[in-house]
Amino acid sequence: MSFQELTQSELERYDRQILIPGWGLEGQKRLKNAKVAVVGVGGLGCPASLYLTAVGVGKIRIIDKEKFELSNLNRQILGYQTDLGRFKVHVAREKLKMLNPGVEVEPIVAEVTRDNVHEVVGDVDVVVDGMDNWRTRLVLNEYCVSHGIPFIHAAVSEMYGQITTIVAGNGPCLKCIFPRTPPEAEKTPVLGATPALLASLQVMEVVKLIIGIGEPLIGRMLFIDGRTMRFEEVRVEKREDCPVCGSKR
Amino acid sequence: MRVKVKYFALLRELAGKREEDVEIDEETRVEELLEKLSERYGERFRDYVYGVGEFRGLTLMFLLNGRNIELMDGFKTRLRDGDTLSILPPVVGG
Ligand SMILES: [Zn+2]
Repeated sequence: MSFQELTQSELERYDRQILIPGWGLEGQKRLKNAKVAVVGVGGLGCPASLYLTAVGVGKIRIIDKEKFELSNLNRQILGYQTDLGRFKVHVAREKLKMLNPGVEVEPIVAEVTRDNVHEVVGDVDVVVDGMDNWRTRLVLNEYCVSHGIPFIHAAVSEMYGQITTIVAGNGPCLKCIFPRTPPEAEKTPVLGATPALLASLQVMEVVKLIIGIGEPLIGRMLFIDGRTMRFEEVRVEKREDCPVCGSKR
Repeated sequence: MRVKVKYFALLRELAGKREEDVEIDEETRVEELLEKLSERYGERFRDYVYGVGEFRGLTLMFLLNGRNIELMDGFKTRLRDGDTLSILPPVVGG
């Protein structure tokens, strides 16, 4: 892939972020030449893909097997009343292109599994966790660790959320933190603004990693408690004997 | 000796605080610490941390200095002076 320069209209569109210290034209060009996968176009994936589109990531691959249902609309903000029954990734692509036609959006109707993860997620610079289950998250974790792709994990419930950035070799992976697969939930209670908040944080992590600014959330899990509106991080350690990322596997 | 306990989610309401230092005997195990805290904060606290009664099926995450206690001896893990135990709720949705 050839390295793409910025157009006049892009310079204007991204003016306010190019001004951020450490960003500049170089940072914006890096974003334009980057490819990010958003796995799951739900409460996290909708706002995450919106902000990734707005910020000017060159290629965004969005993956989800579902169609919009009425009970999604309290939080999956790319889905409008008129989109009920349509595939989420098709609806999302339409709207993302309207927001920023310069961004390439690749919609994939699929459920990520161990067998297809290579093909479905593919060769990207960062993977954003928009999943609602641990089974898929752990498949993504393994794929990202083995391919050296940063993985931005987030999960939500009620007004709580957690986020951590996984970069193989630099800190723990999801399997280090959750050695036993945590229980799945059929129906998670959630206030839509909670995943929106976490998705914003995920996008900040993606952008920082691509441009190479700031300090990523590696080895730390940020826990957000919207009930008391307190944010607190806990340390998370890498396991040398981790079956996924450990050096003594 | 002394350990730090960090509470998250409902535990903050049940304990009425976000964290505290607890004075315990040498060689105290995680379950003995939880027992001591349950005596202090009541039955609901106990049910919550063990995922029983009203909270049946709930599985919390216990991180001891950033490592899941499942990687050690679970509730039987012995605590050491200066340890930090963080007790987090399961968060799965997206
Ligand atoms: Zn690991």
